[in-house]
Amino acid sequence: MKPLSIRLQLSLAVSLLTLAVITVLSAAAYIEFEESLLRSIDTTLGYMGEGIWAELIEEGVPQTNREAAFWALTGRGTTKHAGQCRIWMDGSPNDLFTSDSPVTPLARELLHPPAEEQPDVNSISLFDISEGSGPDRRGVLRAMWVRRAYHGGIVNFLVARSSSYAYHELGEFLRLLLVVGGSTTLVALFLVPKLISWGLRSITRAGGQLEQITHRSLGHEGRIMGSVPVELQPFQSALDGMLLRLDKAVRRQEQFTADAAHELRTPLAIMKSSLQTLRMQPRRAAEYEEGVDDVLQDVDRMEHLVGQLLTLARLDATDKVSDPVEVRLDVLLESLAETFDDHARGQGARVVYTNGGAVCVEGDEIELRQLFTNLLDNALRYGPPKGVIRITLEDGQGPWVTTCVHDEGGAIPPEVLPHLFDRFYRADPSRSHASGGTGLGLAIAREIVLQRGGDIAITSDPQTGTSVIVRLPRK
Amino acid sequence: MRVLIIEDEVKLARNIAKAIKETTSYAVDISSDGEDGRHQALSNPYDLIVLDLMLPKVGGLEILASLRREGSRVPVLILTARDTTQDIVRGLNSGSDDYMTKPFDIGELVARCKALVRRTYDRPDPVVRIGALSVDTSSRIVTLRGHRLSLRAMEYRLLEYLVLRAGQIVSKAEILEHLYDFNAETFSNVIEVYISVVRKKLDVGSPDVVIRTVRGQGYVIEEATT
Repeated sequence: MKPLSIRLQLSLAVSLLTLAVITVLSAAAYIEFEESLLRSIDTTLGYMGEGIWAELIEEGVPQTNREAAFWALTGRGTTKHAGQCRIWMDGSPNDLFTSDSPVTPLARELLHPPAEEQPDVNSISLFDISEGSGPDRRGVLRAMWVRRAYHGGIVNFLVARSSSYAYHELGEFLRLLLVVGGSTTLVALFLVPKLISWGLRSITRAGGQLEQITHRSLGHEGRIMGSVPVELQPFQSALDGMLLRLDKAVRRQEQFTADAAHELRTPLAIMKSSLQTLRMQPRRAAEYEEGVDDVLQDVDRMEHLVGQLLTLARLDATDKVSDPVEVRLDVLLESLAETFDDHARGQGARVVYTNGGAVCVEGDEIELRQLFTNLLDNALRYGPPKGVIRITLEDGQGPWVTTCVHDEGGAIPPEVLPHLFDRFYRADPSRSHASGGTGLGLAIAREIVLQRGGDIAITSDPQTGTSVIVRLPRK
Repeated sequence: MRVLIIEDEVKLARNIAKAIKETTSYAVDISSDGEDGRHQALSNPYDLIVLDLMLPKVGGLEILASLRREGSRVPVLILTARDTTQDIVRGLNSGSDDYMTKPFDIGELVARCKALVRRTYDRPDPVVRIGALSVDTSSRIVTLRGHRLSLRAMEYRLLEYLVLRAGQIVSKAEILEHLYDFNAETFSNVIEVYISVVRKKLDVGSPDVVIRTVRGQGYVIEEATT
């Protein structure tokens, strides 16, 4: 499923929340308003009742049905929403007073108040009565029924007031709430996406900047500029970190390519200049022979370098790792030691292998041979002349087999040690070829070891010499 | 003329030196590390320096910077495996006069070297003429009134230097510094000996061009005034 846009999600959520809050608040306000409206009707009815009672005591029973004081008490003639009033004595068939409005004829219910609402003497009851009935029902009357002892009998007075106006007011209020609530929700729906866009503007800007980044501008101009909100800072620094790592990788690759180009061009330049110099003028046969030998030497050097570059390229293509087979490491090391010892004796040096019994590792025999050839080559090249190179094989406990190639060479500065496995690394940036190495031997060794899940380390000490320690998984 | 090659690939330096010596009359010194190269470049009045960039101890651009800081006007040709436009621009902007990338054509290198030297002496024309004397610095052929003079290597070297600086007084010390490489064994009156040989070869009947001795200062080559 396609993920919803964050704007849509948030606007919907915020709008729904606004709607819910407004609904709850409106409902509460509506109920409160309704109660207060009804209370105010009851209060009015109470005042009317008290007025009538006072009038009855002071003025006596109304003589005519149209006595002004009573009319006034019900508000007739002063307000459209006048109350209605009926006064009668218990047991008497005729009313003492009946107000009747031509606008709202006295409700039938007022003439026959429901018996269950009849209050005790000296008390009141408040109740709703319907004005009219059936479909033409025009509203509700709020009525107050008071019964008091009066002139030896019991006087009843019933005052009623239409509450339809209150309900009309309530209706208006409800409409107002709906309009306000609805428009607030709509405004939220419209505003929230804008707010989100505004909030996301730094991401949008960063996106624009990210689009500009190429492998050339990873490190510096590529950095996401500008301040971002606190919430986005971890994201920003993670992104910056990633860009830096990529930049480093690209730079390493570029450096490697540049170094490889340099390493290949130099012997080419020498060969070309040798041949061109040779051709500049006629020479003696001996001079030509010397020149050819010279160039052949450079061809050898280049052949070696190209071989190493190819090995490295093959190792880099990690999807082509050959299946590991069981290799007798002790046999391999012994045969290598023999070969190198023959060679070393010519220079007055020695290569010694200490036999530690049969040891098997997982790997590829050709690669392992290349690995230890490179290490022995380095030991011979950089160790002291006439020194002894020792190969020890330790089949300790645990899953590892440890091989150590040790020479009596002087100390390698500690700051140089971590770089020794870098491609084309030489302590001196001149890449001088006085030593004859290509600067790839240890890099190849490391790739071989890492590919088989092992590790390789180098230690150097002026007293004890230099050791390269290789750990490979035991078969 | 005297050239310094600062290049850590010994074989390459040797090849360049050989090519320069065989096709020009220049004396050539070789330095195979940056520190020694800088010292030599600063202490001898070279007419040209061929400079590698990646050198042991002191880098090529650093050597170049030291030279220019010291006010040296020696032409510098950078010879390096760094071949990106950026590298070339940086090399030229650091005060070098020319830039060649490895692998290069040795004939082109020598031709560029000669061109740079000609510019230094403000002689864009490879053939320098003084009166009836004509010295072709590219083919090293000297003619006087149309007749070819046969000069030995050192004699030509001396004549070329004097001719390039025709009209100026050239001191003995300058001649020694510009004509001999570091390893040459010189003795004090060697210059006088060569001067007299060249004078003799120039003196064919009525003299056209003379090498005049300016007492206490040196020599000057000029048209003979009759």
